[in-house]
Amino acid sequence: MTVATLPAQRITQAPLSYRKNVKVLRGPQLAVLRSAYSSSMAISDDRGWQHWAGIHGLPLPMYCQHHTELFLPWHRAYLYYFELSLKEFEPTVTLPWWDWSSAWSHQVGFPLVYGEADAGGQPNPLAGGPINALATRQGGQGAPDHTSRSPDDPANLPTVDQVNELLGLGDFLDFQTQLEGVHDNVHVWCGGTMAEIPFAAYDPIFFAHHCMIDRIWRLWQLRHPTAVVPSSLLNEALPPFNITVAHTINVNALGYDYASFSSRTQIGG
Amino acid sequence: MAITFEIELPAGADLPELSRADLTFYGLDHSGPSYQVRVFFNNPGAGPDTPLTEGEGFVGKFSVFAHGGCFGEEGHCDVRGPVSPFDRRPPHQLVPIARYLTVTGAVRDLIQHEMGSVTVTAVPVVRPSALATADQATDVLTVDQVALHTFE
Repeated sequence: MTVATLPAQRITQAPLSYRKNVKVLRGPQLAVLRSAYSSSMAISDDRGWQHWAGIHGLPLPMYCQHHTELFLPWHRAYLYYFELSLKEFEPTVTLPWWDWSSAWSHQVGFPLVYGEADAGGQPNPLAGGPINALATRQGGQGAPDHTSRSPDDPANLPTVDQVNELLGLGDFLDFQTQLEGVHDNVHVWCGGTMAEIPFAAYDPIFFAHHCMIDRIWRLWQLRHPTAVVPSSLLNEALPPFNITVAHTINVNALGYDYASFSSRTQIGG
Repeated sequence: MAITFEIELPAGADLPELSRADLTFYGLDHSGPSYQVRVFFNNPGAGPDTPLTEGEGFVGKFSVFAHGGCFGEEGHCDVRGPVSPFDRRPPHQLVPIARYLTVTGAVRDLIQHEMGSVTVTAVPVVRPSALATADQATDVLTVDQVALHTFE
């Protein structure tokens, strides 16, 4: 008797995207990041930068969740959807994180690549940008039409010790509240448009800052695998995104993770 | 404008060793400009220019990332509650918040010196930003209640 066997199936798993420290981005990776931002900023419809920045603040409605139990899940969803929108332009792009607790940041403040006005003879899209005209109009007298920054002394940024204290907390809601406090400190440290909810997300540094916040949550999850988001929150929707809190718990299910360094080589077809 | 108040400390011969002490501010407004709150112990004269040093009684600070004003029509930013028992909408975005500052070392020192209470001064500071000027610090800080919680 012969036994038929099925040919071994080649099992492939979709590769995760790895978000990286902005400090270690190499030339080509930076070029991809800048290209994605430039492309997004060049589009005025709901695929582009103004739309995505406006979801957080003005124009109304302001969807962001601050000072609520949905702070971390909502911002994880926001970054996830925004990153997907950038991948429409550059499939390999990932959002980098700004480690404001590093010794480097305590010397220079903002990452240099987010501060340079020009990059390779072109305007640097990471340095800032215009603000949606409707948002400016709704903001009333004195509302900005372009992003600005007014940073405090770099020595006043949160420290590694503060981050380690956060990572030591055992309860999700306690951790989230304390992490949001550190997050608020960085927004106020940045000054300018980053310091006010209605306009903060129009500055690209916003996403590097929030990537750091999301990364700290990821690190906390790894350190406290049995600490969970309260079950009463899991079915909460995160408008305008079509996912719930439960969908935000596992970053690998969202297709990404964090790495200090990541390179990839294609072998075969 | 700064606020100053006195708050009771744990006392007694058989006090358990405390591992953490939180000073919690309830009812903080976040509808206006973003602001920082600097907290001092036993320094009722502290103000925005007071150095942030232990000698001045500085015990920590926190920031409130805020909404920068109301951008809707009249009533848009009035905090509403549920309109029916079946109201599944999330709470209004401007429900006042609580923030806590961990002040373990400072409270431990005061207890060791057998202090029964401490005078707390909270100084708001507004950094000029897209929507704010420094003089808005005069009315940015509202607090309903402050509590000290200690943990073994």
